[in-house]
Amino acid sequence: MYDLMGLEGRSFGTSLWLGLKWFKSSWSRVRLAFAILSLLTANFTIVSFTLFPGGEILPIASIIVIMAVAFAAIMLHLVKLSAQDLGLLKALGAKRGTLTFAVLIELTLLGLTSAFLGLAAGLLTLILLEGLTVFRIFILQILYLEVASAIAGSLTGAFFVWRYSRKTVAEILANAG
Amino acid sequence: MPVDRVILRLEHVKKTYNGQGKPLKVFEDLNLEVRRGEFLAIFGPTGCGKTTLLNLIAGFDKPEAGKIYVDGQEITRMPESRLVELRRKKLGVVFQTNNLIPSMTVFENVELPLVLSGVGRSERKKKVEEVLKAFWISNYAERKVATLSVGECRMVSLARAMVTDPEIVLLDEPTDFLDALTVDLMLASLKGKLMQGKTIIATTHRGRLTKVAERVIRLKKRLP
Repeated sequence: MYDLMGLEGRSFGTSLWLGLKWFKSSWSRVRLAFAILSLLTANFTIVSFTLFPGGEILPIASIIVIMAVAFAAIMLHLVKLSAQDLGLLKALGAKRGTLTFAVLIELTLLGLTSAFLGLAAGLLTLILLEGLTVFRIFILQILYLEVASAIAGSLTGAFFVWRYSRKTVAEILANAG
Repeated sequence: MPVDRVILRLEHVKKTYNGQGKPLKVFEDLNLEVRRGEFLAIFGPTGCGKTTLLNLIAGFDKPEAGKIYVDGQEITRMPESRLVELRRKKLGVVFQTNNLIPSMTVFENVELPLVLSGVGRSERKKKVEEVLKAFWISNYAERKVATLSVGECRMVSLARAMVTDPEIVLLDEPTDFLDALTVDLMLASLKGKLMQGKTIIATTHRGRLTKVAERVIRLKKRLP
């Protein structure tokens, strides 16, 4: 049961180590994606509050779908950039589960941090535009939706890695290189 | 139990790539035996299949037919999880393009195979420091790989391959893109203490490496 998706023994610790290391050390690579995701989130916050002040669920739900797709697209782009690293780690003896969880940790951290920063930026912009009245509206619902879209994007990225890591090392390195 | 004298055996290996429109045969019936502790050089021009051969030996790629035995274990039909274990324990690989993670430090790059094998932090530190010293790169330990020269990167790559103390070391064009001085350093390190008793298989299209190897096999390029 513990060997689900190839995860076993100390693999979770290894995934955590790798995921955090990736998030920290590949900052130059994720910086642009981070900025785009934060910008998206800020825009989403402003649009949600200004166009739908009553907090209608349907329009917000449609926006969240667009947000999730945007997050997923950026996550997939990041995963593609990481393809060579994935091939290399597989060559060095990483199991598929270890890699999937490491990327999941990296992308989730990226998604959540972007969503929170973007939300803060969006709210700040709204306060400057409309005053403090915005806090009367559905702030928690908006927060949940943003976190959900960030996690949906991360899961998409991780699923892609899981599928990617089924290829042979030679295929991954050849495609990445 | 007696230790098999042959550590690597390829039997009737066939490998074909899908070229543009028609299949490109790389190996049709390749047979090879490598003795334990032997230093074998695979010599041939670019495109003759040297890297493909190393990929097959490391289990990075699969042949269409034939069998490959690494230390008595048949790897061509081995499940991925067992292949991963085999790579961790038996193989060290130096890629032609080094394949280091540029945003990580030298220490972190060399440490990676140990992290993946679940080795504890203090033991990792000890082993990494030992191997960095052996390859004369201790001074670069905290430097980001992106700031190193090609020759320094090659030594880091070699240190990473050796940190798990593998029985077989695969080197893909280890002297490529290196100046004469760094080639000397690289060849000296292949004869160093850490490499004693190891089976070394190195590809090259230059003559230098073939002079230090115990045996040389030549691959010819197939005309399409």
